[in-house]
Amino acid sequence: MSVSQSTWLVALGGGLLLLTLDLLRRRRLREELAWGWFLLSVLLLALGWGELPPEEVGVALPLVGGAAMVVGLSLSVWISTLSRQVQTLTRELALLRAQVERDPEGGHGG
Amino acid sequence: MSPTRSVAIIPAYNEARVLPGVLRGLKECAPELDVVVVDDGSGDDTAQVARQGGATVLRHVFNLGYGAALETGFQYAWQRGYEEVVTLDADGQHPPSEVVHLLAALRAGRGEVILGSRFLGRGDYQAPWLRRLGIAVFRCIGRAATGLPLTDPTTGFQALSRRALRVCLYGHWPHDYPDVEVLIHLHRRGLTLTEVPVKMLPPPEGDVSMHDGLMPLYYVYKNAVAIPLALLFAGRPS
Repeated sequence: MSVSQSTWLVALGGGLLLLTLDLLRRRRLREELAWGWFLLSVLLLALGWGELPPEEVGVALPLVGGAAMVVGLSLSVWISTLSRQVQTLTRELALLRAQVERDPEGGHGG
Repeated sequence: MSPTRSVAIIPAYNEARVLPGVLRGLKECAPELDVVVVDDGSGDDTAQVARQGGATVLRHVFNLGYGAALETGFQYAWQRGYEEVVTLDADGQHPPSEVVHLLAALRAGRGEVILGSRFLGRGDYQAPWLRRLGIAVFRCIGRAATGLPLTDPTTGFQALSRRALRVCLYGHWPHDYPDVEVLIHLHRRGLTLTEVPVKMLPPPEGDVSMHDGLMPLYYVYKNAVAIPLALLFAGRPS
């Protein structure tokens, strides 16, 4: 791997690590969702610093790509779950609000 | 007090301008119907005009999508014990005077899901060419998937029996576009789907539709994913 490639990988991994830590600090990112980004940044840093011979770079890069895919997919599943939960809550709130508006005294409407 | 047998469910998003006319039309043409407007997070006075028009209003605090709004209405209808449900759009494309045709077919036992088709000879509805092309494609898919001679598989003008309502609520219901994939699910669960001719009107000028902008691209993509999944995994007919 050339020096410039190593530099880019270290910069990318380090930048991702710092960004993840900053988002955690500002509570914009939950710890349980940060694992994937920690993993990716560590892999990128290891790849950049590791001074791997060219034949091993060809193995390592797909591994990093695969890790990125796993992270992306798990986040998509998480977001889909949250979306369904929001839908359910919104629906229940709408039905409850209609019930309350129908019967503002708070009895059991029929 | 036993609930009224029939309810009209109208999903609405920013339709304060046109909705009063729809509600007046329903009162004149189908006075026996209870009317429920599902305000899907509108930014205008949709909820207020719906109440003023005598409708029960279910209000989403966020915009969830047409399918999600319908599902909220279905949930309400199920909980209240309604036996017949009519769905129609809030933008005036579905004339309230045509509701009687849907209900008549449902009550005559012609099917548990009555689809109001704009292409069976009533009225002279002309959709834009791109929309017609899309409907034609989904018509072919719907026919191939169900074996039924469907002409308007994307219609939102429908009447459902209570049994169909149950299937809609306890099966898979999409939050965005409940079109062909839903028909496949309903058909596979043994429900009878029947089309009846209805008149439809063009959307009012200046109205923002859920099919505007880039949404047609998403619509094509969504159905390209959802329809094969429905074909593979929807329940088999009894």
